Amino acid sequence: MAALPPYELSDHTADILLTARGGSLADLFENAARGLLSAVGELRVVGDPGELPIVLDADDRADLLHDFLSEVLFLFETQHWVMTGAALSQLSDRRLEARLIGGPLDRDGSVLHREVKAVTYHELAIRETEGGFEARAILDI
Amino acid sequence: MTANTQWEGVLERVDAVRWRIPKSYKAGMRVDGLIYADDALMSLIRGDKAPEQVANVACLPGIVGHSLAMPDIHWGYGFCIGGVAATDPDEGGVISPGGVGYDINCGVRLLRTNLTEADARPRIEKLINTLFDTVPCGVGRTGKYKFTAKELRHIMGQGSPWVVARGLGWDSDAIVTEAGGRIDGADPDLVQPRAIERGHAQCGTLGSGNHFLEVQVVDHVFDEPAARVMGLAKGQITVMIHSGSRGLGYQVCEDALKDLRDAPKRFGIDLPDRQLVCAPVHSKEGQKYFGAMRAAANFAWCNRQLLGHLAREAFAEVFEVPAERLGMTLVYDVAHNIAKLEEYEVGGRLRKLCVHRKGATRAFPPGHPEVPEKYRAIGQPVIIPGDMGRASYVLVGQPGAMTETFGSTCHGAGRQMSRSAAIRASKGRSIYRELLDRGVIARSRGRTGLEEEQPDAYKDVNEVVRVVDEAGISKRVARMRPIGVIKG
Repeated sequence: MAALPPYELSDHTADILLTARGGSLADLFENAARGLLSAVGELRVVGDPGELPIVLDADDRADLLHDFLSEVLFLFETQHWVMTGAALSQLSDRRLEARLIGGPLDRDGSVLHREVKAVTYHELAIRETEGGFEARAILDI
Repeated sequence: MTANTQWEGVLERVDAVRWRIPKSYKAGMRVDGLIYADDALMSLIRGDKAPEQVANVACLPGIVGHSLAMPDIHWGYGFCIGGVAATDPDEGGVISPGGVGYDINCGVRLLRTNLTEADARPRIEKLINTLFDTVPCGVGRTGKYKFTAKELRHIMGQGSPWVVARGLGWDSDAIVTEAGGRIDGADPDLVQPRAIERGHAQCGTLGSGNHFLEVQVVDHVFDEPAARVMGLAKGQITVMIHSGSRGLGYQVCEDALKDLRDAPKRFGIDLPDRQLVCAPVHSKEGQKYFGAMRAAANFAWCNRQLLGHLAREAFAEVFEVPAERLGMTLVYDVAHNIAKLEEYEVGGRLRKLCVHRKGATRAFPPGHPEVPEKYRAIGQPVIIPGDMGRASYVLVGQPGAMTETFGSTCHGAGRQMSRSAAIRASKGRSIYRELLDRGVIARSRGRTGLEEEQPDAYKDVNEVVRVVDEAGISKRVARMRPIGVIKG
């Protein structure tokens, strides 16, 4: 795992392919969310970090990742709240309980790239690797 | 051009601008795929998985005719971008949120002016700066207009005529908007609170990505009589706006994909890609999406209406005369991400079909009853944005579109380079400076916006429209070149 970055943004004709990795599922989810926000910009927060509890239920692991990323995106878009970390207290294939750590977007200190419209289901997948887990998701730009 | 692998599936040449993917290519295909392209465009189209997606769409229950793809197609998610699929609701035909996309009723609006390039050039920098200050664009920018929850319901239920009635436009605007700016059957109650929360402050904002507002000059007229009807002439300034339903529409799609996730199993539909989830048009689930999607479509027409109004205000400020005196009438506003019920003659009988256009533009021919009276003799204007360095087009619909493509044509140049490849290709260059050298002043909020959207990232729109013209599904009327652009 050491050689591979926790997340990467790469080529897809019109959109962006997000690849995330983690030694555990919890790391994978957190890194994927960081990767998602890195597509939006180089984001900084102002003030003291805050916490937001979230609970998600889904059909399977990939679906859960989709919903988790969509939630992080939703918080950014509606409240300009930037997730900087996540403490996952429960993560099974169908349920996630977590405290998101983050804060309000620092507009002046951030570099904004682009809006992400959605995390798509197209070719969405999580696979187990030698070092843990790897996920792919296509972001609609 | 991209890191994607070459598509090696079966393509049969039909003629110079048509290619068939036979339904024998893949198990589950109910109809053939049909792609409009010449040799040069086809070599680009084969560069990603878009043709496979054309084949996947051919698997949808109730699909009629062909799974169609325009010359600007590229790899999307579920459907390709640039795809058209019509299903027959009376024969189990489905509606699929993936066939519309996240940006419901993304579309284009074209305004004309009385100004010539000579009038505009001396003030172009001031004009672009004023537009950039006036029109909210980029990540997280909220609109100038704030609407209450009750007003949003009017926007979603009644579309752009409601906005115009509040003084934010001219009475003639809605007449020259597809569906009169208001699609029937919209049900704001079906739009979930998360969608309202995401979109409520975004009506009247441009967004980012490939959305833009462009000041252009008509630089070539192909069809003088049609151009005259539209009020267009060589040398004249036009304004083109490309945007959609913003966060509200994205969330309506997102919510529908979730709501419908079990529908294929329930209705016994076998799908090659989850992003194609769908439900019969006549089912409760299908109707639920249709009602919400139409509400988002009305929101999008209001959004472009407000953006057009802001553009008029900026022009009035810079040229110090009211927009009326500048002759800033709307030429047309057309959707290119939408599903609609439309009538077509198929197999010798008239059928009401659910036409999905995902990155495809309606192109009704002369005489069609849904074409505004003003344009009835020439056909419905079709607005095709190109790229910000080369050109954009106005076409009109042709009879071939009714017999072959369910009243549809292309929607733009179509990307040929991924965003990261475009950024890599910009290393050591200033896209801003290059555009300036071509006579285009560009302003962008996002740091990488100009790099990602640089002209080379797109196919040549001239080639794309030449193909749809040759295929007889639409006809070129005028070409515009950009002189200024604002982006998110």
